Amino acid sequence: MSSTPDSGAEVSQQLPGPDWPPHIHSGRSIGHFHGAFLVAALPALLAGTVLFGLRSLLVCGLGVAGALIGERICQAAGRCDPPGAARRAHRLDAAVIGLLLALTLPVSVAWQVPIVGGLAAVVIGKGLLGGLGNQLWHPALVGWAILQLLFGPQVSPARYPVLARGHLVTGFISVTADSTDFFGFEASSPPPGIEAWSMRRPIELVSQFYRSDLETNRDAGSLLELFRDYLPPWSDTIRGHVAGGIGETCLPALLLGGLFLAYRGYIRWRLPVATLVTVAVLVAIWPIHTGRPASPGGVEMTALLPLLHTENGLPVGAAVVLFHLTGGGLWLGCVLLATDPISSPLTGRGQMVFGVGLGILIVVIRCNGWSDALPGGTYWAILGMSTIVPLIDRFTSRRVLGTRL
Amino acid sequence: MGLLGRYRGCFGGMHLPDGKAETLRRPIRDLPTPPRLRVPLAQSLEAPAVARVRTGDQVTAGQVIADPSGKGAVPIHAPVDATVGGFTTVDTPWSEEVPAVELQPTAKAPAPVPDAPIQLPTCNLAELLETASAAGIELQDGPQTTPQSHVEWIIVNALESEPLQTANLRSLIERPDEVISTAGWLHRTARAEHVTLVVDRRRRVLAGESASLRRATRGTAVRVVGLPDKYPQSFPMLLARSITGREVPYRQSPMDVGVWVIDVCDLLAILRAVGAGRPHTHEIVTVTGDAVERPGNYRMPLGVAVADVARHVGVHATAARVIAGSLLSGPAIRHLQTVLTNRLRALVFTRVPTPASRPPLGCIRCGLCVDHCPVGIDPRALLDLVERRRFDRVARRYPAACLDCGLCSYVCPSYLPVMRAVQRSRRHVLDA
Repeated sequence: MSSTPDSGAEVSQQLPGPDWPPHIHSGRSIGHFHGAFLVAALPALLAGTVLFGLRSLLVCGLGVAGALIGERICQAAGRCDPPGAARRAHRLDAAVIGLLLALTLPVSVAWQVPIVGGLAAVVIGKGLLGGLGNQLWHPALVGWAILQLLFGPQVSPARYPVLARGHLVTGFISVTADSTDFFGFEASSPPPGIEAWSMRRPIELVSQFYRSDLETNRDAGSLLELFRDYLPPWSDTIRGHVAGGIGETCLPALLLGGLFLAYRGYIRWRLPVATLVTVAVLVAIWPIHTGRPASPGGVEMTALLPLLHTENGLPVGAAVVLFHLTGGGLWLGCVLLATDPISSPLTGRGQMVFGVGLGILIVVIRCNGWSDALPGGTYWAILGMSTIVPLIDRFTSRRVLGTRL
Repeated sequence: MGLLGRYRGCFGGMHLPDGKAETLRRPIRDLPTPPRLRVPLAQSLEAPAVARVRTGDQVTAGQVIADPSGKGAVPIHAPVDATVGGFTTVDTPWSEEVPAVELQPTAKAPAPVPDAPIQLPTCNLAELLETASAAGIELQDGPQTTPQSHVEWIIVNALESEPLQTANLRSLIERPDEVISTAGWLHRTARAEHVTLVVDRRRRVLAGESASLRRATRGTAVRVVGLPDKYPQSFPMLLARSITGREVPYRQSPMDVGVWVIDVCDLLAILRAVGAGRPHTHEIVTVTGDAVERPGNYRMPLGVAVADVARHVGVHATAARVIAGSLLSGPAIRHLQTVLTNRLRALVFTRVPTPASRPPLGCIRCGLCVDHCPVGIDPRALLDLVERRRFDRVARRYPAACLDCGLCSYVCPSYLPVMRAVQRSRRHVLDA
């Protein structure tokens, strides 16, 4: 429709040039973004190394290596040889993708899993699904989903190994003991010759209580029993001595990374905060079964407002909320993965909508018993929300000054 | 006005490193009259004025040398006593091949500025505007000679959020009483309801708000307001919103909502024109940058070439670029014979070379341009549309609201030509 002589291609060539304002630049380039995410992921990697042993470093290194190989393949296949700065930016991006992917994996995966994951994440998630800046989903999560299909039981096993007291960092995770006599990191010493406990994810055990007793084979008889006999203390969940992926469990490390990103302006606080608040509120009001009745054949008890539910004077319901807030991949997901600029909305309002939607999806997956079909519910939820980001962007654009008065 | 009576800053924007300390400290000085002045007959984009002098004529300072030809244009006056040397064409920062009158000044020293107290007459707004226009003052954001709308709010702008530029603030520091009394007089003349002097919140003590300004405002209608100096808060559209709470409708100007934003230099020009009958022939320009040996604010006549300025302020041989106006939105000057015009408030000589061509890396949707845009445009979307040549879709993104602040390109981590794309779309919308 336009008959104007100059084309868009010319616009691209006019800047950066000597003649066009602005004559100064903030000095912050894409490389700073990727570098910031890399730095923000380092505390989680460090915590993972302490909690799950040196093998974490191997898994993460292989993930990054796989991603870098994938980047190489992409450039070879595209026959593009981007100039130095762009090549560095692409490599850094691939390294971030590989590292974030590896952080979601349990330390016990076979060595080829992170390599395949990193490769798939970059080649398929980044290269084939649009290239840097155009992909709909976070490449690391695409890689994770592919791994889930290829190596399901390895990527989300029933039991995760966690190093026992006195064996941190250097402990060997393949010598594990069942966690039946595990009463918290501080309280339990491992049997001789055992360096790690093998545990179930607390969030899975809690999620069992959303389905009725008849549908599921619960480990614990009632919520009270669950918290008393089966789950580690909540403090362990926060510190990260709990079943989960390498970078998923240690919340202070993730918080540190997130605060760094937010403080330097690479992410905005709205998205993760909206997610966490939504999860907390929804879980607090989502009805939960509390356990078998005292007499056989009776109807199972249900707490309609879990937050206020107490048993024997103990705030069991509040504990449910706390375990939801700290368990699973929630923090890694909403701090380091969902905040990725490419696959999240542009405006603050859009990010708020994204965060609330993400929280709803996570709670629905966990509390409807979809966790069995969709292990790693947070990541599926992020993939799902990223799918509708163009829609969110469309309805949350900023009002231009002077219009729609 | 925001909660608790505090003034709400504009959306987005950014605090930039401003480098103003050096030029703010020094008094405004006169630039010696160069041996040759080439006064352009068109200051910006309007039709050139028609010269009324001939080669060899003797002109005195303040004499009209060219009559306006178009509507809203202003006459042009000789800045100094001079002989008309001929007619030529010059390049200005904004346009090329502009017809100009060449003057050869006869007096070496610039005309001394009489310091006699200036009496402001009682008149009405139409007379005031006519006098100002006849004196060669172009009021871009001001009311037209036949005012259609009533001026309700006068905002005297001493904020200057552009980096490096201090011409307005320095003028305020030197002449607080004159600025306040002229603002009060303007308020009475235009029968406005409010008059507000906006200063930089961080520098209001420097601007004398604590002592001399407060003393000067006592008993007048003038209110002094401090705003954060984040760029581009000092643009008229944003000032009108922050100070009065009135939002300027799309594709209209602040005058359409009854707000007249006038900067301190223009206000003092009106004072001289109306009070002393002196036409507007000199402009105060902040000459600064890392290649300048003697930075400061200089009063320079119309028709001075960049080379004359450079010779006087002492520019290092290593200077790589000269930028007219703001570093974020002003044009780069192509050659040293470029002639300075009206409404130029800063001239920056810098050693920082042209940035080596950085390959655009592709948008990563970081949202920085959206976050920092003071008017809420989505520059990233416009860039996408322009690159795909979907000009049919640009209008619904309101590119004409763009203020040319340049922040979108400034913050873009991919070095994308975002600002150019917005300007292209705006041109498309305005031409349609």
